[in-house]
Amino acid sequence: MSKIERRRVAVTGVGLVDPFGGDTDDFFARIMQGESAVTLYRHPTSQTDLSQPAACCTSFSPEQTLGRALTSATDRYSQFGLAAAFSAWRDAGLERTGAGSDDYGVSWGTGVGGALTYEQGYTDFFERGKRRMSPLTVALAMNNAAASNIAIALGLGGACLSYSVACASSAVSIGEAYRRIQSGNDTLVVAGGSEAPLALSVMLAWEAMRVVAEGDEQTAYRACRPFQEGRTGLVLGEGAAAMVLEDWDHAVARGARIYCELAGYGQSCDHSHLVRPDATGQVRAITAAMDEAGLSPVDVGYVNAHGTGTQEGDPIEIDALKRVFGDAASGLAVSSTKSMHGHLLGAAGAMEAAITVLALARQQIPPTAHLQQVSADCTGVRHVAGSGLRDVAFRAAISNSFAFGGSNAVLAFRQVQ
Amino acid sequence: MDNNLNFIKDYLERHLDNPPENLTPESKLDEIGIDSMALLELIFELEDKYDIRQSADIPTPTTVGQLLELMEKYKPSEVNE
Repeated sequence: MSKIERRRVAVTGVGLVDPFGGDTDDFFARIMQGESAVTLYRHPTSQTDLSQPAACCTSFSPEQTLGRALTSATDRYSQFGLAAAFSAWRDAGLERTGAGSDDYGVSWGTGVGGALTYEQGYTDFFERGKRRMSPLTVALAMNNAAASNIAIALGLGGACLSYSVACASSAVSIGEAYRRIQSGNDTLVVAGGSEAPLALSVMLAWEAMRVVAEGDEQTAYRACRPFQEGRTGLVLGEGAAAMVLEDWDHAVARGARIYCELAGYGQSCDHSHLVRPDATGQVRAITAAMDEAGLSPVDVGYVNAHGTGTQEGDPIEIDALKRVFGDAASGLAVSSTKSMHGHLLGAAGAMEAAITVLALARQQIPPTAHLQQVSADCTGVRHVAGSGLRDVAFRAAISNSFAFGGSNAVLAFRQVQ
Repeated sequence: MDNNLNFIKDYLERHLDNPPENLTPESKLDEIGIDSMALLELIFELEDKYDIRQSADIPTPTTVGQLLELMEKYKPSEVNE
């Protein structure tokens, strides 16, 4: 398909379920202050003394947000997804009932899906002596449950697709939604991702890889320190982010407020190692996204980095950025907001894409929290620390998502022109 | 029978935002918020309550009255309510 045939794609709504528990403005204001939502999380039913620094949505009340009927028929990851989707839908100026269409779709991402539902089943089986699982287990736990619940609740009859690409899941879901609108297959797509990863098995699995940041009651809030000298790893986070993506002409015709244009999407596979990232693959994804969006290095004012805070991953991403941006790298504003909201795995791409959209629309750049001494292997870009940057004029921003498995997805956003 | 009716009411209150106030034997299950999934779950909970297992080929009730009949029929005789 030639570029000339492609439809432009507008971002017209953003919705979050985040660990601070407030609305989108509250979330953005907090991360602009470098405020961390990470606390020491103890698994509630574990027989071990397992605790990890993590960003938990403790104040999220599914019954209050979604009602009893939806709550009792959904896993926590779907509840996050529904709440974020409703919020984005409202933010896009759409009525909760009657505004759906068979030309509108859902594109969703999750990594571990209904892990908590399976955990409940195993707990019933092994600890409570039950010999069977709830008949709702499949419907609650399946990895497309969130997407389908969103489609049902909002009346979206277009494609309803779910992507599981580890930590790039929801960057891919947004990118693939973008493709569907570009090609005219859908007019509007609710795109994003949700994750509820604080299941015992998931926490233990990440801990076993020795990539979970260290922290106790006092220090958990600053456990995740991307790009910092002496960083010790990532922290898991739960929540969701959704955006309403829309055919540009459709958005204009209905008088929608447009945050920005989703103008590029680059994908690649490192094809080298399951868990060790490779700058060469990342370079290809970043370059593809920027090329599609028609951006040269000097046009990009902000990169929301994948930046998990691991020893191995952070310098590889900085290396990739330096290769792509060349002489412009030293002035390139980069931050990793995972330092504050944690690593949402399959929802990380959507959360960070939403932050990137808000940053571009507000011309403000959030910091990497707790960054005091940039590690020698992460230098060469303009790390944004402290309380971020305000009143910066920039016309484009990108959001990086690099998954285990070597799958890379990069989204490029451009200011409304 | 009353206990079984309360069992259904309790289920509806736990699962619905606006549970019906007046349940009659004629109330249709799909009209009071018990779809096929919910019926599976309700029967599952009932089996746990009485520690019984119903065969897979039981007739599918469509009204509250039929559901109550089923519950009564499969209630173990030693259960004293």
